Amino acid sequence: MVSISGVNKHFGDLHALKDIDLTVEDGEVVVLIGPSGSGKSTLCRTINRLETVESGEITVGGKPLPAEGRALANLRADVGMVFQHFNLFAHLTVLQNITLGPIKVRRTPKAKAEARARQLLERVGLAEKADAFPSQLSGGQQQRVAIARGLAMDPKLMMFDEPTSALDPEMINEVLDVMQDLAREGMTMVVVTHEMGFARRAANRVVFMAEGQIVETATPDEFFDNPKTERAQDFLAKVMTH
Amino acid sequence: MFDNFDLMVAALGAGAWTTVWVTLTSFTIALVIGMVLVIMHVSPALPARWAANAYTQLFRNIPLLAVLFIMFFGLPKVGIVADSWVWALLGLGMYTGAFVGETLRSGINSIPLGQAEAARSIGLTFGQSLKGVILPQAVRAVIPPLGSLLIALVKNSALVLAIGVTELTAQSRRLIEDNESRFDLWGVVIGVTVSYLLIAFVLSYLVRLVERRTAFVR
Repeated sequence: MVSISGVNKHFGDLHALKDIDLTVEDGEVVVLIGPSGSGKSTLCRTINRLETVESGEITVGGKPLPAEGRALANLRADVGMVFQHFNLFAHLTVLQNITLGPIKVRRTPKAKAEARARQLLERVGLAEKADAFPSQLSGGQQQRVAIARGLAMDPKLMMFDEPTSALDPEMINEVLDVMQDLAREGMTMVVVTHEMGFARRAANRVVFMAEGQIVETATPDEFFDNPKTERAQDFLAKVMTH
Repeated sequence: MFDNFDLMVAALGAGAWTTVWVTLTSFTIALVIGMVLVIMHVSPALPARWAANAYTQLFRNIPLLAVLFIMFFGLPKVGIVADSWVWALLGLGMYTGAFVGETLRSGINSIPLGQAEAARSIGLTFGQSLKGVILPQAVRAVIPPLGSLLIALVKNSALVLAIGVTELTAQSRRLIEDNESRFDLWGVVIGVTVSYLLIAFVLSYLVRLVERRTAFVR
């Protein structure tokens, strides 16, 4: 589904991504973990070209990423993205947030798009919030709407960029539950997260990054029970003590 | 009361009416120009950004009266001939358009980057995300400052008397300089003041209505 090879990126002097190679198979759930500033969010954002890269190649669904214009827009339509800060459209209702893409990009008739949106809201447990505005929802609710917005495009791949990092603790699980259901249904997912429990339960593969490099790739059991690199052992020791 | 009150009211009324339609028409032109400028400003094409910047610098940095003179006296010399009211509308509109463009740009800058990223991530093109996501939010944020520009334009429109358009201020001068001295000076001064205040109050009220109707909870 996604193939990344030899990707490099700098932010000024910072070498944010160093020779990254990564493939994500159809139906696979890949969880990117690592310390802050390790490049995992940046890597995630290169897959739909919210970040450009300096060298290397990225293909999605077998096709190289278009540089810009309508071709790039079409590719992004097939790749759902959920952001740390939800980024729901503030001037639109929940229902309008979900139907905007289908109506404008997919040319779905409004009635059909709305019916589908209500279905998705039902699925994320927010059927009664269709006419609310984003600011009237809690963080957890907003994030579930954002997931529904992504799913409404029938994406081939869903990306989650720290989807629970901006949430109050008691709202994290409602979002993770929705994500875990998705994983179980066979959605191809790339998830950047600090939720080790989720990584362990839902991931097919854990990719551990540090300082812009992929340090270790393993199944969740291997990674959490028996990390191979010192860097990963050190990281896990710090995040798993509590 | 004042001398020849009926005549005075009729003359000031005609002037006020000219002021109102010159203001509203040139403001419409300014809104269109400002919209085009801001789209050029945020567009990915570098030449478009340069052109928008050049326009803004030009019209923001020369006095409105000079803009009107250049159009009214200068353009006919190079074969572009039009009525003075055309130059009045264009001059006011193009001058104010530069300010509208900057105001809209500050509105766009006030929209969090995440909104644009989310719009792009669902596959909207540059134009679609501007039209569907960014501009609707930016416009709401800039209605109060646009209202200020509109009020400023009411007053700026007095300058078109210099190229022969008889709006409210021009009318008041005609009354004051009346050959037969039929009008009382204070009557004209009070009349013109009240007229401007009325126009400004009504327009401010309308702006506030628009503001309320487009409000949304953040």
